[in-house]
Amino acid sequence: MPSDFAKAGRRFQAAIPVPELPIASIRGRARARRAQHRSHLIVAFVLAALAVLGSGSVLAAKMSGMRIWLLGNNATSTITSFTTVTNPTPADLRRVVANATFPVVLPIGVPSDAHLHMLVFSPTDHPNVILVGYENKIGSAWYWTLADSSVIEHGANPLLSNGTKSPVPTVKHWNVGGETVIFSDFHNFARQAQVEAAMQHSTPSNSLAQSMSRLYRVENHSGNSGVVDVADTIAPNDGRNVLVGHGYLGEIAALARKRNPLITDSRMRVVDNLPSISGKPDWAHQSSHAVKEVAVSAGGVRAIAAVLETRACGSAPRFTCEILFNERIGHAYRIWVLPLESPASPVKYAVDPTTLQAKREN
Amino acid sequence: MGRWASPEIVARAVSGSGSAVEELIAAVWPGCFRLAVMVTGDRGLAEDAAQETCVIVDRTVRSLRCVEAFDGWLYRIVMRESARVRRRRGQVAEPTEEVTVVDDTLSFDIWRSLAALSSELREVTVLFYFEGLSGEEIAAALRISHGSVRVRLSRARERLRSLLSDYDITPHKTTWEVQQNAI
Repeated sequence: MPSDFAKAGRRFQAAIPVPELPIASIRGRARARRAQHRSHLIVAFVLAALAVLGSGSVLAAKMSGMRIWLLGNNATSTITSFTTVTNPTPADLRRVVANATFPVVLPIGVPSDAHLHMLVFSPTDHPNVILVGYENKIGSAWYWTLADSSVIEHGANPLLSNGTKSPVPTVKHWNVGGETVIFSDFHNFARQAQVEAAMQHSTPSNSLAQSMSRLYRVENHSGNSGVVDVADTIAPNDGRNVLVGHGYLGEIAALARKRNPLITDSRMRVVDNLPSISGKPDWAHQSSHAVKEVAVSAGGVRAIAAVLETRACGSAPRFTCEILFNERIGHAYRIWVLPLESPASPVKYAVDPTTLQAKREN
Repeated sequence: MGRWASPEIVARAVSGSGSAVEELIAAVWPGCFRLAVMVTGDRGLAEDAAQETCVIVDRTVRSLRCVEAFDGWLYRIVMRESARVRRRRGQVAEPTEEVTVVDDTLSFDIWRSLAALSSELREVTVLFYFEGLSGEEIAAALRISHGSVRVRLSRARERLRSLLSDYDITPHKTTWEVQQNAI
C-alpha cells in the first residue's frame, strides 16, 4: 500500500473537476434548516405551555392534528401535524383565517413595535387551531393559541390518567364568540388584559384588518431584521414587494441565464406526522416537507440580474447588499439596492421589462 | 489532522468565527465533492451530498469539542450524506466519462470497476485506497466494526481483481491486514 491501483484511483479522483462553491445555495439550505429548527422550538415552547395538569372542572379539546385539554387555568395538548409560516404575508394570513373552521378574532392591541412574524396552524387545510406569534425588534415574543371552541369537549384528559406529573405553568384562556383564546402566563406580558379586552370588543373582519397592518408589507426572504425594517418603510403600496436576502443573490445570474424564477423553500413547512416518544414530540422522526414558492418571477430575476451587473451590490460570491424588488403588471420593475452596512441609504433602479435596461433613479 | 483544512482555520471556526466557517467551507468543498463523486458515482448526487455536508459544517462545527476531531467528523458526515442522497434517488446511473478530466483508459476502467461494486464495497475501497484512511478510521467514518471493514475490503479486492484482470494493478493487501492475518 499504496498500490498502482491506489495511485491510479487517486489520480482519477484528483482530476475530477469541482463546481464553483455554491455558497448561496448552502446559505439558503442552512437558512431553511434554521427556520425549521426555530419553528420546532416555538411549537415545542407552546406545547410546553399547554402541557400542564391541574384540578377542577375540565374542558377537553379534541381536534384533528392537535388536541388541547383545558383544566381550570391549566392545559395539556398533543400535536401530530401542523403547518408553520414564518414572515407571513397578507395573503397567507387571509388564507389561514378564511379556511379556519371558526370565525377567527386575531390578537389586537399588541405593542406597536411588534410584527406578526409567525403562524402555526393545524390541520393544514381547515385549521381549528391557529397559533399567532408576534415579535418585536429586541426579540421579545408573544404567542396566542386560537382554537375552535366547538371542538372542545368536557372531560378528563385520558392521556394523563397514568399519574404523570408535569410542571404546571398556568395559562389564561377566554372565549371570543366561537373561539377559545389561550395565552401562556409565562410570557410575563403586561398588556395581556388589554389584548383580551380589545379582542372581546372586536370582530373577525376588524381584527383581520388591524392585524394586516402588523405584517411586513414585503415578502421577506432575508434573515436581516435591520434591512427588513428599512425595506418595509420604502416599499411602494402598489404591486408585490419582495426582499431578496444577499444569500440568494449568488443564484440570480445563473437563473437569469436559464430564464428561471427564484424559488425559495424556507418560509413555509408542513409537518405531516409528528410522532411522540415518552409523551413528548419526537422531532427526529417527523415527516415533513418545505413548501416551495416562486419568490421572484423569471422576468424579475432578469431585472435583478441587470441591476447586479452594474456592480451596485458588490460581486459574486460576496454581495454587499440585499434587494427590494417591486413588480407591477405592465410597468417597469422597481428595484432598491439596500447596502448591508447602511440599509437606510438605498439606491433605486427602474428596469424596463422589455429591454432589461437598468436606470438609476437617485 | 489537517486532511481537509489547516488546523488554524478549523480552530478559528470551532471557536465561533463566522468568517472562518466560510473559509473552512471553501477549503473542504473540493474534497467533499470529489469524495462524494467517488462514493455516489454521480456528479449531481455528489453536489447535493457535498452541499448538505457544508450546511452541517456551517451549523454545527462550533459544537465540536476539539479541533483534532474535525477530520473524522467530516468523513462521517460526507459518507452519511452521500449514502442518504443515494438512497433518496435510488440506483445510480451508469458512470460517464465526463466525471473527470483524466484522459486514459486505465483511470476510466478503475472508475467503471468501482461503479460495479455495491455501495458498501465501494465506500471502503475509496476510503482505504484513495483517501488513505486506516481500518479504524474507516470503521469510525462508516460507523461499522473494524471486522466489517476487513471483510468488505477483502470482498471488494476479490471483485476488483476480476474486473481489472486485464491490468497488473490489482489492489494489494495492506500492512495492517497482513499483520492481523485478516484475509
